[in-house]
Amino acid sequence: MSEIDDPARLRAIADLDLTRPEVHAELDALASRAAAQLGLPIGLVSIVLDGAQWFPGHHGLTGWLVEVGGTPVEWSFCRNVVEKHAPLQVPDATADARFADNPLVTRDGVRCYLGVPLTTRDGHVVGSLCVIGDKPRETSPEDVAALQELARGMMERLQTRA
Amino acid sequence: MHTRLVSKGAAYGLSRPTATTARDALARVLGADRADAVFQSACDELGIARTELSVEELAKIARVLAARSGIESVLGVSLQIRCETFLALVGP
Repeated sequence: MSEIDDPARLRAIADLDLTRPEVHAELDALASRAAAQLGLPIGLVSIVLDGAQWFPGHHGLTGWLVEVGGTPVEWSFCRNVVEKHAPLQVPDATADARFADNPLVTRDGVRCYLGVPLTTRDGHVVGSLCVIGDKPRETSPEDVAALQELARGMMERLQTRA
Repeated sequence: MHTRLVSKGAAYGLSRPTATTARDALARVLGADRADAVFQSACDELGIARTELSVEELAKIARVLAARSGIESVLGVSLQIRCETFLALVGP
């Protein structure tokens, strides 16, 4: 069984009780703050489930991604963050063999990506706080640190309430 | 001229969600017996008695599961996103 399908990790996601409406508003605000801080058009709180990534908080999405509120997990950049327990930086997805054929790149125009793990106190990586742009962009260690700080604060708040 | 045939269901590499793939996804996490019971309870709640289900019906089942608590909710959201992605990008 892969980490993505691990029932203990999925239970940790369930314990966060992210379907509460007040949580969505807070996560939307966090996604917006992440995008603004990094100067990119899209920010996402992406929770990686067994078959899909789910966006309980988002900023800057359009079209079907807003209506559906997620994507199949096999298209997920954030899945890599969960599997590696580490930040993922993709300066230009069209030039990266891992992602160049991904429909989110070819169809929806994702070009650059930076995501950091959302980790519970028990060490489960439940998803990623990420920012996305439609132009190539290198990110700095300071960018990663800023996003990690936002992610840590968010997970603390969620677990204190859950 | 050589014509490339691509099935509608294969668009963007998406496979059509079915009752079997949905039950299998639940079983990977819950075990087969509990997965069958959970899936059947959602069908019963919606008054669905058939085994051949459309993607729209699967999406309704997923929404029932997503509205529950705990791990059933998480698995329901996952199935719901897969079904709704298919409906949005491929069609019913």
